[in-house]
Amino acid sequence: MFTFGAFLKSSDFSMLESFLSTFFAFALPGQFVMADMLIAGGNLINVFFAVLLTNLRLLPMTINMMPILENKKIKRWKYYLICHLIAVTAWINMLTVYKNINKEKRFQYFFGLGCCLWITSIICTVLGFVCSNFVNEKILIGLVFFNPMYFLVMTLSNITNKKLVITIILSIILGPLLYNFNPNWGILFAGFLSGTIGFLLFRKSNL
Amino acid sequence: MIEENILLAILASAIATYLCRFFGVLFSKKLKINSWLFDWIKCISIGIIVAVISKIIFFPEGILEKTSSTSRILATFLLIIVFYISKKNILLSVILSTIFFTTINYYKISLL
Repeated sequence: MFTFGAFLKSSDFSMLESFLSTFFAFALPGQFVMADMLIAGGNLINVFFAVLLTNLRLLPMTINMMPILENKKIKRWKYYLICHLIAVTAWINMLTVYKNINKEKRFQYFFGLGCCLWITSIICTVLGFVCSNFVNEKILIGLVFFNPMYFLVMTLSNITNKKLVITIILSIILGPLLYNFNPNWGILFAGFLSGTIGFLLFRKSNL
Repeated sequence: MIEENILLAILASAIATYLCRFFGVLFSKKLKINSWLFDWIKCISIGIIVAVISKIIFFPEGILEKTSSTSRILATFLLIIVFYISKKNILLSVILSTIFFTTINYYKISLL
């Protein structure tokens, strides 16, 4: 999140906007896509759909988390608040430890864990933004470049089957290609097309 | 880009992000996470992220525009090579490729 603050600074965001981004749209891949779409000149509809499709992975993650957090003493509306804290790190941590936590206390445990990660992310985004004011431009370039490299390697570490291999290869080619044809919708379409082709080609394969 | 656009984009992305979680809570008892639909969603999500990364490497905006495309491409190759050689060490590969990239651009080393 620290280098993401520097990325936002280089994308012409203000400190308040960097803060608001992590506060309200807490999920780093979606924030990254949003910032890049904005500097590439994308409009609000592009941003909305790109973030929606990027973050749709949160839907099965939330579905997966709900039975773990279920507690009849907790009012339903509170689940609609706590779901804001579901992001990859909190989710993986919760899945690892929940069996050791009393069922009655899981909601509170996740609230503490999620809030801690959320607040830390907000602080790191703002810190990264502020610190980027004090570094040499050439170092700032390195901090900004850290972001796409980090996302690329995180994506590579998630490759679990042939569908994703094909998706990644296609989107590497189609991303810049379609962006050249249409800067507004090119990236969104490239991602959708690559993912759909990858999925359809190896639909029945789990490898 | 005007200030208002950034705030509206943050609002749009906040709504898009929250909707994913909201429907997760709403449909938690009705949808099965092992369905083909979520497999497809995962492919599309990864497709969009990689398309954005690829676009940044080939056609960057903002501060990265000042860097050479050769340095960006070589740093990406280095990242991938180190990642697989180091048995998928995320931190090592990202740090090494970033240091390589920063050094090349800091000293304006000509690569080709």
